[in-house]
Amino acid sequence: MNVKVTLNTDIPSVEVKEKNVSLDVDEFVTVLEIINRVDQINHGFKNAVIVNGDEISNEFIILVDGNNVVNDAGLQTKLNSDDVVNIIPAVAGG
Amino acid sequence: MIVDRIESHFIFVLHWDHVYRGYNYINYKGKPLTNKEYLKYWGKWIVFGSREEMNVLAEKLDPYVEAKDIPAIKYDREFITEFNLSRCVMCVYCHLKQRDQVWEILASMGVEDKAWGTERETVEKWLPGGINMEKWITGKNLGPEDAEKMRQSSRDKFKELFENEDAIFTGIEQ
Repeated sequence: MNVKVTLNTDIPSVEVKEKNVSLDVDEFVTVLEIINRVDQINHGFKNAVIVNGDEISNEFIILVDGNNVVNDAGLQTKLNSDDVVNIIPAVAGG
Repeated sequence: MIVDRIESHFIFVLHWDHVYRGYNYINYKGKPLTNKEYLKYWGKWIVFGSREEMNVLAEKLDPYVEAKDIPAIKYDREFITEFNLSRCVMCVYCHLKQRDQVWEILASMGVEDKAWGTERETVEKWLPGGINMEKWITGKNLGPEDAEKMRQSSRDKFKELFENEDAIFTGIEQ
């Protein structure tokens, strides 16, 4: 299945090569696996977004189809076909 | 109508009745929200773009605000440098139960990236220790005394919201 990932944020520690990424992935792929895939394209991305091993950095909000994954299963949130993963700075919208 | 007051960081899109007749747009089906309901249900679609893109989108969305299909909108006049943001942010406010309908409007305008945030999350970010409050203090280079004043001001501002759940929500100073 296909999912789209959009980085709606600047990440100073990462040389972002692609802000809009389209990925072919297995069914029920998790947010964590998506982050690993994006990290292969934008090196350092995973280290910026995940802290303390398995926590989402408080600098970022990860949304799947518009919804903050912390209100679902966090990094273990499973994706469906055509879902969009949107990563935004946590400070936005205040 | 678009409310562009130079003294404000934000440019608003508000219903004419709100600006001139005190209409409370924070309602659901005409019923004003209590503080508890506000924290539980009120939120916004967050849209990113340049100031020019925001202006164009605001003009397109204004008729939907006048028709009360969208309760209210605000967007940055300029980048918030204290937060190191390199784009303007637009907040398109509505009740949780209206959000799909409001999203359809945004999508019809070409908005693609969905990002829903609740007002509870935003309030928590502006409380002492919250990411927005602490980044703002750092970005403004406030000393310890001024930083504490700012944190205390935040506690005072949000006190009513948390302590008086059943009161009608009366807004937060912007």
